[in-house]
Amino acid sequence: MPGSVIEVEGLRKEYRRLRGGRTLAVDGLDLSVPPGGVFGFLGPNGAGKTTSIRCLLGLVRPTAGRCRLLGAEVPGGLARVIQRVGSIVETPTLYPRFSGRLNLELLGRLHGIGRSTCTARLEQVGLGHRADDPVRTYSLGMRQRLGIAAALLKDPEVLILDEPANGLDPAGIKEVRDLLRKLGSEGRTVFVSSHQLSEIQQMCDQVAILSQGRYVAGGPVVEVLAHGRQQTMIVRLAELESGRSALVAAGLDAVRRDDHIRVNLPLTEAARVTEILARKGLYLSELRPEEISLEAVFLELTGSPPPEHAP
Amino acid sequence: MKALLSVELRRILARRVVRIAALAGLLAILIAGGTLFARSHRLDPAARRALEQQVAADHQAAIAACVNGEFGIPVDEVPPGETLEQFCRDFVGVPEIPDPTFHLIAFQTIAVNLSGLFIVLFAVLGATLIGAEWHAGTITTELTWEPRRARLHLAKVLAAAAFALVGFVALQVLVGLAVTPAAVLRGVTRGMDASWLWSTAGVVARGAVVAALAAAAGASIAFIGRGTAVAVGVLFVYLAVLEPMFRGVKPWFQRWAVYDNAARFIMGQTAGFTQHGRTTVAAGVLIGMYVGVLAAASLAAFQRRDVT
Repeated sequence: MPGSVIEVEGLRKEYRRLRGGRTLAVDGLDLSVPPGGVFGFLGPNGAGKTTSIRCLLGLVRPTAGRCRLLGAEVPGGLARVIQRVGSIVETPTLYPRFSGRLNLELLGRLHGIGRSTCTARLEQVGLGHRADDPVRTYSLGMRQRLGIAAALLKDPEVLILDEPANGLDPAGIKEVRDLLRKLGSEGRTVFVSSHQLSEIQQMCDQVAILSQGRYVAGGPVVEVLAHGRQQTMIVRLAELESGRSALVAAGLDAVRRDDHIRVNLPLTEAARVTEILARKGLYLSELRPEEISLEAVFLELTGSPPPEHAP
Repeated sequence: MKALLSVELRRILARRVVRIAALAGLLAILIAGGTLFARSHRLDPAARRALEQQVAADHQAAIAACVNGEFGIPVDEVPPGETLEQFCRDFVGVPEIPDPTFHLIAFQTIAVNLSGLFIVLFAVLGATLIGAEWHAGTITTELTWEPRRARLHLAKVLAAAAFALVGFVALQVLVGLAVTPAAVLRGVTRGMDASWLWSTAGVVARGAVVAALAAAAGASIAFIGRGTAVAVGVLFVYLAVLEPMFRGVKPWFQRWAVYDNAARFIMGQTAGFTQHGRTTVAAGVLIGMYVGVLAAASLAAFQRRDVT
């Protein structure tokens, strides 16, 4: 798609095993990320998210297909645009015996970024008070924050973040979510892979769902959430069992739950449900479409348990 | 490239292993200098005469013991036309008068002898500087800042070599400084003319070049093996096992051996253990070519392989 910040076409990556044979990590992935906003990259463990990100950053050579970042071919043209791209791949890898500040300063020097910017980024991610401690003394969450600080150091147009909330406590997760949303709203493109579906749902404007190395669904979050799920509505009334019997007698697929009835009909059929119940002298207290979580859609599309529930 | 090189050098200097090695080296040099200072002393004429008399008396006693059969030499072993006493004089040899005085001109020999140790140290440091980066995974992070692998590789190998070059000279200068008080205050500084200085500077400079090449070789092998242990293992197996074995079995191989050519280049003359040598320049060029090929192979491997 013209104007896309990230373009992936027919990306395929096979890893050779030491004892022979091949492992297919990504299988013909097509992806297009528009500029601005937060784009979620979802998939169960082993779906090929990290491999795709590694291909995008030129760390791994694709077996087939092509990647473009800010219009530059990867890996050939990557050097031309790398100044505009900040990234984290898996757990941030920095020198464990160097302080957080020294790690950032060494990276910053490569692009002429000064000490004051490093200090500002450390403050931004809440690491100012530990900036001079060795990274090996940091918790996983603090390392993650340092990785985010490193990714932000270049003041990038595009952020590619692989599981940025990994290891963070709930407060940290919220901070990162707010930060990424803010960066997205500033016009930057934030491409974030995560297995924390509720986070993605709250944070992203668009998502792509990956399963077994293939793209299975994507688009604006509201559309993905609506995927195949418009058929159900929730009905609440005082006499639940009478209501259910009336609906079933009228030929509808209705199931009683704890405090409501679930009717497998689109919301456009709401008048029909109301009429059936009113004829029996039953009056609604609530009628609404069933809210679907990204987790449920993810489960349905990938046919696997949601990652946060996986062992 | 300048920024990359400066960052790599800064990183090397901040490494703990480098600081520990520098501290250990400094301590060892200070201890050696102190020991030399304590042991070295000038002899006054009377003491020298007494020492010479003592050595001469010991020599005569040894010859007498030999003649008296205390050495157990069978009479029929004495060559025809030679008396037993003549044979014993040859057998016992000319005694050396021990010289407890340190002569500063001996620093050149010290520098040559220490070169091997320092070169091995820098080869290992070169390997560990790169090996640790693979172990910690920091290469991944760096590639997201400088994706041109050839530049990154070149910067890292050059930084290791530059560090070794300067480090080698610094260590030799420190050794020189550490032994100087022993020569000035309790020894002899005679013979330190311009020719000696140039010759010594040449030994140190050529040793520094070999140290730089050794660090580059260690770094290159660590790039291929993606770890310190692999690099150190390969260096050890080749230099301590394969090469000595091969040059023992095939003496002509000395012309191609790292050990013989490095020694030839540093000393500026053929080492006593080398029968099939090259000129100093040719030996240096050969070592340089070996490291160049190794560096090119490691670059090719780094360019081609995935960083996972």
